[in-house]
Amino acid sequence: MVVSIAVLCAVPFFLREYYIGVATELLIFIILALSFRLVLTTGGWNLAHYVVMGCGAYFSAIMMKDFGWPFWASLPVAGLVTALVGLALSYPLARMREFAYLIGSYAMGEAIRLSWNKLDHPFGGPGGITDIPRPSSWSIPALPTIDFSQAFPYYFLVMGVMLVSLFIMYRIDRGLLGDTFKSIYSQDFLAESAGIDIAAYKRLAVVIGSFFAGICGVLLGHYHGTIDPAVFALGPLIILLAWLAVGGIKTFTGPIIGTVFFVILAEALRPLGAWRPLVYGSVLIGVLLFMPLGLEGLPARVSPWVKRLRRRIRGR
Amino acid sequence: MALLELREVTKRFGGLVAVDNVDLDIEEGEIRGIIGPNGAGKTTIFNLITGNYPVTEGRIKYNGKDITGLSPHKIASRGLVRTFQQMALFNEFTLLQNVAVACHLHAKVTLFGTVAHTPAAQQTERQAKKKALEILEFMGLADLKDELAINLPHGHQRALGIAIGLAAEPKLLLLDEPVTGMNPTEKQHMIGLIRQVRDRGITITLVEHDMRTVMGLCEKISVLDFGKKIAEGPPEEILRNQQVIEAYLGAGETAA
Repeated sequence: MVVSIAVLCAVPFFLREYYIGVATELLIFIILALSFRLVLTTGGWNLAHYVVMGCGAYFSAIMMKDFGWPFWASLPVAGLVTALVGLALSYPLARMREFAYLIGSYAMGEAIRLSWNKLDHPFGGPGGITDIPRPSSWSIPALPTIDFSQAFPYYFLVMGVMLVSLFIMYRIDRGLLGDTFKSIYSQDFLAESAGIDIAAYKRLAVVIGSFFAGICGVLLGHYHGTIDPAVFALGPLIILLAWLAVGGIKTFTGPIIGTVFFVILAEALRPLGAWRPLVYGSVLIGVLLFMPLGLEGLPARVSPWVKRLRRRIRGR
Repeated sequence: MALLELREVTKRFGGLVAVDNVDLDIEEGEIRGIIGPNGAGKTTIFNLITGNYPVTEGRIKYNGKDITGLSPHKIASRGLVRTFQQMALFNEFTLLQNVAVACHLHAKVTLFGTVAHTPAAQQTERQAKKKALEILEFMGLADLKDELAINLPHGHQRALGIAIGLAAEPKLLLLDEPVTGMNPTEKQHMIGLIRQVRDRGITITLVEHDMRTVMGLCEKISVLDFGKKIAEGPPEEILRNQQVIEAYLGAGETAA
């Protein structure tokens, strides 16, 4: 825990500005992957999750550009607004199961996303919103001004938000509340028969997940400075699903491992140029074939080998 | 007044009448058996009582109040709890988690409490675990509390199913085929457990194919055939009932 925070703090000191940007995005995607998993613990494959994230990005961008809100106000409010969007989506979603859930969530997401595409005001139509300002600088007396338009301070801002978000989601995951969510995915009939109001808990999970997705949207929008409807299409969400599949969803660390693995892999494969998608895809399929439980299942699979090896060494 | 009253309850699936105009009274403190040939509508009756299926016609009263049409979790929260025929467990949970999550009704968790670890929330989680452990002890599963449910042998899985039911603090527990597929030793053990559950003041109603178990365990038996109740009474009476014998053997054979 302390070690990983120390590593997170140390990382930007060793990276060029471009890679600080990659690391910043990575941290945002970690929040996003875990927020998706939180909804998924109740069994909800919410295909509208990226669009919900977009709601946060659009809300914050419009508030800052058109209404002059400061970033520090628009960040939490955007989270709450997307939680409300999640609440609205969650009522029909809580009544859907399996295939209907997939299609239902996709349809609701597209309904929102395509209205951004069609409405020039206030969403900017297909071109989206450009020149989204970065958070304003902090000037604390007797200290150098912290200018969040620079990659370095923005990384630390995102890191702070990520640590708080992960802390909250971890507590939920480890508590009785997290077990209640998981019991619904495991056996919804049994959970219901034990008196658990499964519809209410499914809604709660969507609301919490949407809050954090909205936060991700704000961080991403202000980082890139521009957003448009294509950013929040189904394609990127499918890539997120691939990360989750590779990392695994049983444990809290699975999505983190998957996201880190693929973001770093994508960067490492950059020199391959035109061959990159092919290699990237092959690695993904290889992991799915040979590690059906994801990377998180690796220690459990490796440990018998290690034991056997140890025994053999001791035998000699 | 009976604890559970079914009045003229009918369930139709399209043209098929699965349960046909059934009256049923379960008295507080009894162990009731519901038997009948395959497809007689036994499990359907459970599904109607617990709200898993909507009733086509008729009323169901529990503890003096009409519960017809309530959702399953509301019915469970009033103390009417069931177990399932198939292996319905939270497979990827430990035994302790399986039961603790079902203590939910009486251990209200809040989002804020969960995140902030408030003393009240910590207390709630501790109590749920303590209660879950007591129930596991009662069912003879305490030694296995950290084992995953999916790794349990068949007999223990059934016992865990009942433990999950008990966690919801039932007044009336419906058991769907509690001994089916068990060997004689496991059966004997389960019969003992069911008696113990009753001695805790919990009324039991069970659906079961195993005649010897039903006859030995239940004080009163209701017999269904093609969705209709054809007989009701103590085991020895049921064994001699001509209609019941015909239902089980087929009318043709008795005539021959």
